[in-house]
Amino acid sequence: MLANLATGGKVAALTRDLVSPISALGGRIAGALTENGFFSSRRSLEAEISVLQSEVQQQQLQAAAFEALQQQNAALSQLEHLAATTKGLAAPVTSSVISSPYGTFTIGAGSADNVSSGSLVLTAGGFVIGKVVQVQAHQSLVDQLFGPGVQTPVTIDGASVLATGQGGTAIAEVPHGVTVSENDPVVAPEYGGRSIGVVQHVDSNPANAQSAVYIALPVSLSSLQYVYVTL
Amino acid sequence: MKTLRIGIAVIGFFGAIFLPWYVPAICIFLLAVRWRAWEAILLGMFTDLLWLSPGGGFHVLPLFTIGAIVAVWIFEPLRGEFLT
Repeated sequence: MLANLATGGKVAALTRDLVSPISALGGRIAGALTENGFFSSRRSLEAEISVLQSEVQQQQLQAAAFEALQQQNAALSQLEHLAATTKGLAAPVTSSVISSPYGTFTIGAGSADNVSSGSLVLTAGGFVIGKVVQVQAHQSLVDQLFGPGVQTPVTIDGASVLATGQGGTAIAEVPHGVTVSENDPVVAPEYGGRSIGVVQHVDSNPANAQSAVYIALPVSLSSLQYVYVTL
Repeated sequence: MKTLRIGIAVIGFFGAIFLPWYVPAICIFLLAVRWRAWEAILLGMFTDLLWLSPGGGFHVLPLFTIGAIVAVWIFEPLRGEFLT
């Protein structure tokens, strides 16, 4: 600053002279950029990207919908063979099967679909999982056979016993003389001799008067999307 | 505290529909411990109305409604002593 003052502002002028071309160059570059449409292209590219992203999202949604339909189709196909032997209809499971403290769940079929109280509810494998206890127009409440405290007369390897639901599984007391193996079917005569599950585990403690037979379904109820309701 | 109370109640009602049964049970307990919570009884009634089978036997008892009434009633002396 002292030199600038001493020279009467020549230093400042020189600085401006040096900076001037750079400044002009910058201005020209900026002008060239705006004139040749660089920013407008960028704007249009951004718009294009936005459109493409929205298209990708649409495609992803369609793919998800297609996958859901495929799963639905697969689930319904599994129930198809039941329709050949038993009069009934496929109904979607419309509630969570874990939420009910009473071992109940709802299905999306009701009196409008000729579902009546007492109708049996089957898995794709033909296992009885419950029966309809309350019917509305388009929805029904199903009581699980393995709901807590539900008792069902069953036959295991020829022995007639009472299976008591424990919430997802059931337990039955079988005399020691009866040979029961794991994966043996558990049949309910009152439901037309249909299976209600398989033997999961046998507790043959000789200290007890009877063997405890634990019964379970071969499929997880939570994974069921559709069930077959007998009419 | 009001927000907490509303939050617990909302979780309870949501849980009654979508989550395992013990979620609304816990919410009823929490509400009844801290407040004279009429919504705990409503939550119990809601759970029973939603899931209770009209059949006989063990299922005929509206356990959540009874439980909620008992919880709200049983914690009244505790609330009176420590929380009011």
